[in-house]
Amino acid sequence: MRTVLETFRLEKSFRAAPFRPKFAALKGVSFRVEEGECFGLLGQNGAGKTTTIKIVTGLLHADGGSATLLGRPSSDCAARRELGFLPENPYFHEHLTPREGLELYGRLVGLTRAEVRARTGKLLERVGLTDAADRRLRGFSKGMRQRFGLASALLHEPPLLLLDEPLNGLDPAGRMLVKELILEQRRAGRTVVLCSHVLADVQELCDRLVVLHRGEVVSEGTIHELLESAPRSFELCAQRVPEGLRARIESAATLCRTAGDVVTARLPGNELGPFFAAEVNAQGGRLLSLVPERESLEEWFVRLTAGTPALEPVVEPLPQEVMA
Amino acid sequence: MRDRVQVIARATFLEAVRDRVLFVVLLFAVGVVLFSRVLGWLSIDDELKMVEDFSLSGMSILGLLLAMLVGAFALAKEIERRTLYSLLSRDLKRAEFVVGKYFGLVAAFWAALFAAAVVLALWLALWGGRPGESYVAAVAGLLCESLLVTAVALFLGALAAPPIAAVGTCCFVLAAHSTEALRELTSNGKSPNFAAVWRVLYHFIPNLEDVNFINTTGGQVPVQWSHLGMGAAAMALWSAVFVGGAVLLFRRREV
Amino acid sequence: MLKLKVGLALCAAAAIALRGPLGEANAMRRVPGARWMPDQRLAKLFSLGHRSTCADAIWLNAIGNLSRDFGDQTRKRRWLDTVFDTITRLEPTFSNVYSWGATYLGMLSNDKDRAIDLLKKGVAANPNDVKLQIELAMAYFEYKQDRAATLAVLEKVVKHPKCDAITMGFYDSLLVDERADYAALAQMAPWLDSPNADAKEEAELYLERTKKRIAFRAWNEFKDTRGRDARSKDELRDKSLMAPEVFEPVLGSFEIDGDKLRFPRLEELERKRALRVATSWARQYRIEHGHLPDVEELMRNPWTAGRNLAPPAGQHYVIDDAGVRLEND
Repeated sequence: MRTVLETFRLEKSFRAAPFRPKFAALKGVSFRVEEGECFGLLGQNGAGKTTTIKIVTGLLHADGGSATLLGRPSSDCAARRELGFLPENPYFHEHLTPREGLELYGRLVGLTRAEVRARTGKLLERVGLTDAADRRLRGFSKGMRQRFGLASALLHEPPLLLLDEPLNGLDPAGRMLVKELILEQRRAGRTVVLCSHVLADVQELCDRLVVLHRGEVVSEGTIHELLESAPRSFELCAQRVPEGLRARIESAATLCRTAGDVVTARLPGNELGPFFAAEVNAQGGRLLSLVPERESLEEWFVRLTAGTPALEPVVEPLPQEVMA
Repeated sequence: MRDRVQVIARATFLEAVRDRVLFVVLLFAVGVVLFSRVLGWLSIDDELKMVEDFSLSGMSILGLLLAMLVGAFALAKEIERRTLYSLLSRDLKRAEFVVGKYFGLVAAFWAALFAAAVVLALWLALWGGRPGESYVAAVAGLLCESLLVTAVALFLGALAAPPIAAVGTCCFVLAAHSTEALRELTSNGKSPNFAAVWRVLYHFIPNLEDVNFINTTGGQVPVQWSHLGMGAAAMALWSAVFVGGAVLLFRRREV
Repeated sequence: MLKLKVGLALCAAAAIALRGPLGEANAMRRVPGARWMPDQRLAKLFSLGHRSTCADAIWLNAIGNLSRDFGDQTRKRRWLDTVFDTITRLEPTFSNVYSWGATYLGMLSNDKDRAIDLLKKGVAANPNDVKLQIELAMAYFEYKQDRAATLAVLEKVVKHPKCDAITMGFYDSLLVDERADYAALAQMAPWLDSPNADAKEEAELYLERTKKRIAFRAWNEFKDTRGRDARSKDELRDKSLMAPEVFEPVLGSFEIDGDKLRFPRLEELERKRALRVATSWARQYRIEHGHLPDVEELMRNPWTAGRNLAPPAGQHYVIDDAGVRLEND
């Protein structure tokens, strides 16, 4: 599998004002994106995500280190033909219509006018902008701009898509559309680098991710690797639970509610859940569900960037009286 | 490369002609053309000359206003609105972007000047005038002047904030129109040292009088096309210098 | 909100009220009759490349002030010098300024030398302008009676493809005889049939003056050669004294009264002209001062001075809305 995007010890500093000391936005950021994966780039505000993206897309020059796109330096304009970029809160030339805008961007990546025209209709239909194809972008809502931006990024079918907050400002239908598009691109073998604050979306869409904090990489890996831990608790749901067993469950649970003859309880640790599930079955009750609850990506991220070590799996010895 | 420059130029041209500022400034120039007839009524036997002179001056000011209000803001607007992100993240060199911007602006300004020139020609014809060679030379001179002034506005726009760039462009035009008169004054003046210094400086300051033919439309002096040709070449060369400067400044600009 | 509106209204009212006293204060700062003109040497610099337009603007301003009474003729002369110099520096090819300026200087300001100087400057700056050259030639002829200078200018003019037929005819007629008698009389011939009564009268006046000039020249030359005054018109009928073609018109224009010549028709025309000039001047005076002048002002005003305005015996001037006329005592 080839590397589509790679950064190596990227460094970048800014000076807020003349004669003031420089502020280091990036302090040696290195990561790699392989072909065909959906890669997440996470970080708090001010972590360095946008700076990294700008260096990769050639909008900024790095003070140190390097970035490559499909093996070529990111400063090489020709390398950017393989890139489809959607910036955060994109702005486009408001005097243009979507048709004219796509023609402009398409011509810049080497497509002929005929090729652009052939693709424009289908693309605008795919992002739901057919009716607005000949309206000036000035009158577009945020969501419409976002969809137009996506269309412009996809126009030349690039092998690498770099999307900065692509779901920003979209209504639920728009969000679903964009997610479908991202998944389509993945199925087509394209690589997607996704930068988003909505970690639920990242968890849903991305295979691997890297987390930046204060200009440094603090974590990198697959979701599965990063979040692997024993369950923190179990949610048990059972019907026709004998009274005695019910009492024991209630005393062990951190949260318990009963609706008719259905008991739902949150049982801490990673043993109580399976234990009581077996007891329900053994005592003639009916187990409806046993769901392990692990730490979410959001919780993990907040802990990571706040400096708290990742939560270790809670392994508590079963209280003897409960098990008796 | 030519294709990409052309694409940017076309987009810039469309942006400029769809901008209200260009329309308003053009309206001003047309207003001057029409109003100059009133001034003609105040003269003795010189109605058409008044119309032509005031209108051509109005068109010269049109070119300056366009450069100040549109040209000086061109690059900064792209950065501020972040429309630049969508462009530079594609296969487009910064130099190509700046050059494309320049050609697009020049095309838009020339379209406005040409429209004003056509209105003036029709207006003159309506009152019995016959715009001839000298009129064509005057308009050609204005177009050449616009080449340089736009380049300077773009250069200053890359160097400083847009309002400063606009004022700087205006100052440049005033200075570039004064070099010839200053040379004449200093050569007849009391200080030979100052005259010597000015003689050297004179060669390094672009001289808009090289393409200023608006003062010769009324007289009997035949048009010196070779003079205009050399002046146009000089304007083109100076424009290349300033656009090149803008490219150099913009290359390392953080966006 | 109401307080704000009231406050704004009061501010506006106060600003408007200040207009009156400010206007008076500004008026007191204005020196009556003064006209500012930029230093000619700086004119090109301050025109910032728009030399023609600046020249036009100064000329438009000057036209309106040419007839203004400055009171001090020296100051007016200085101002005019500055105006013409500035305009012609900015735009040496502005031929109407030379033309109208010379007309004003020669005919209204009575400064014929400066009129000719201005035309010479115009011709030097516009060597291809036939109209200016013709005007210069006519200025030499009219103001200086300098036939040689007139011929010198016309020699080049008649070779120009744009030279008109009347000028060519005038040049030819100047060459007819050394005394230019025939040319002088022929020049006014086309105007004698003019439908414009004033133009016709002017032409006739000029013709009578020319006849008087020829008559006096012949009379004096006769006296110089014969040592006595001519006793009759027939004695002056001599081709050594005047061109034969002009015998009848010239000899018919005067009467010999002892040792003097009288020109009755000329006197009549001169008087009529003087009255016309006086009427024009009186109307102009009324526009500038708001009332008609009296006879004393008429007699001493520079416009009318030198025109021999003394009324004939038994008559006096009357100035009213109709103009200036003579009435019997």
